[in-house]
Amino acid sequence: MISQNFKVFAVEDDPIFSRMLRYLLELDPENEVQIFNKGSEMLNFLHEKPSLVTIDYSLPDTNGADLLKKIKAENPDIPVIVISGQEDITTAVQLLKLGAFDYICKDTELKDRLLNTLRHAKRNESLVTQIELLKEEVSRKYDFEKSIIGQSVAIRRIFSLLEKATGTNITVSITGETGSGKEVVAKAVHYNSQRKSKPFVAVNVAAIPEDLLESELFGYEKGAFTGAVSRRIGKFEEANTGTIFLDEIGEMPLHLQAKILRVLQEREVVRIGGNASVKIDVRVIVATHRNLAEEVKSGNFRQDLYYRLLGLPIHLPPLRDRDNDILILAKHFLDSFTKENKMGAVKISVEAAAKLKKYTYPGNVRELKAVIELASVMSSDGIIEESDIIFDETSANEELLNTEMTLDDYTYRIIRHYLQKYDDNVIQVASKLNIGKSTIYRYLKQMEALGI
Amino acid sequence: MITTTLNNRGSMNLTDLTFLRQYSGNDEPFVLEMVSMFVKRTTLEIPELLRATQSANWPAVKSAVHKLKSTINFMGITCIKDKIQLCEDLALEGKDGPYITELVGEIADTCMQAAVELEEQVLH
Repeated sequence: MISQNFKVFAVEDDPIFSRMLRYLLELDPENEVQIFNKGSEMLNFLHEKPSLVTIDYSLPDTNGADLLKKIKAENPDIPVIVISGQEDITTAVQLLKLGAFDYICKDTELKDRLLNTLRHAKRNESLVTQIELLKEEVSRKYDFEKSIIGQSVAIRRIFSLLEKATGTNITVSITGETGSGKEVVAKAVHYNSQRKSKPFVAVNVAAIPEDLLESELFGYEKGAFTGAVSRRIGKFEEANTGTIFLDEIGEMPLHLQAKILRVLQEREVVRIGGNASVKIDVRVIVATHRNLAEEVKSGNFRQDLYYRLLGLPIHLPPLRDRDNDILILAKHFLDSFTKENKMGAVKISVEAAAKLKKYTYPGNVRELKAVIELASVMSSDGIIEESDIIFDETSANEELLNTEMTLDDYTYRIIRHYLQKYDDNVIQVASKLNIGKSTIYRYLKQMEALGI
Repeated sequence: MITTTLNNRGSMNLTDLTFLRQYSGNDEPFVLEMVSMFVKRTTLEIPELLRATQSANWPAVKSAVHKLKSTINFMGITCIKDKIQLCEDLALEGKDGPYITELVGEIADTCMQAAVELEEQVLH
């Protein structure tokens, strides 16, 4: 927490009361008190951003309500306490509606009420400061270069697309295999855009049961269904003025796709059980591991929604296609893990690095992170050896076998993998697979014809 | 320690400094400072209030009694609390001049007596 003076401006024309106010406020040495006799005098100093303003309701040049409006118009974040000789509920309610932080009467309860309100105001200020600091920290964390690690051609292309995405409000659709970093990219877009200080709301469509998804997204009114004991806003409203990230959008049930389309077209939501529509200003980022174009063809995804969401497509390559990024990422995860766990420096041996590069990572970056974290725990003497690198080979094999491809497709995949691994050296690949060069060329021709 | 419950003639005081003492945590120099300010202000402002009443300047009367309202709370002059509120309400409406004049007279007398009492018992 930052320790600094709590600057209080007090507008009070009564010399007795202003002395009493100063006395009480200055009991806390953290408070720096400045008294003004007129509202207009205080307004001239409002640019100094006081932490709190107290105003007398009856002033020689204005009244509390007008002065409050002027302060709020110039800086809505400054808490304003109205102190009045009048015990008038109507006035108090009116002032609180105008944004007063509190309304206090000049009576014998004054001391306790004022100190209590001051405590609340300080706690609020501290929370606001902490939120701002956290926002800055998050923003720094999602700086492109810090959050998306790698130097491969594929990643450099992603950087250039991200720059285009952050300059506008265009919808971004991110595709890529599981674990390839779709949410990291979505956050990088948000935290580098003009909406960075506004909410980023992530919804994993696949993780929410189908019958709850609608209420999660659109919210509901009290009594909309059994258990709706009070109004609740949905994720779209929560993300208002910020960004909503709909992860695994391909899993969205068809009947909700129509509702999403309406929200995107009309820029408004209607809560379940409600009649009124609520205007929203939300940037949409979607992600999926599916091929949405294929899903449209097979009737699982609405074509109109597909085109509405396509926006700027960003495809994240699987880790196995990212050349030397594997080692760059491994080093990054290793440094972060050792730092977080207050471990000494740990290095990766040449043999371990070679093993890391050979693997295909069906779980992509997420899997590499887990492998490195385990390896750093298993390592001794500050060096990760080959034996410390433990892959979940069964999951890799299962993933490959569960993909259900034709034998030719499996063959294409194997050949492509080996060609990437051996820098397109056909002779070396033919030798490794124990087949002839001409067989490889024949498959390459077939792949080219199929556009693979 | 200053006592304000009974005066030297044995009758009840108009003022009660309990609130000021509680407010300041028995900071006597502060209590004296506030009492001194009250005495000084009363001797200056009560004649102004009377002049405003004589000239039927009800907004000025309203403003003056409004300021007195919080001050008399702090000085514990509770006997005129309701009269001040009534006087403020009537002055705001600007009617029933004779009654306002009567109320102002009572308020002025009490404040002046309170000032004398504080000067005698606290400041001297």
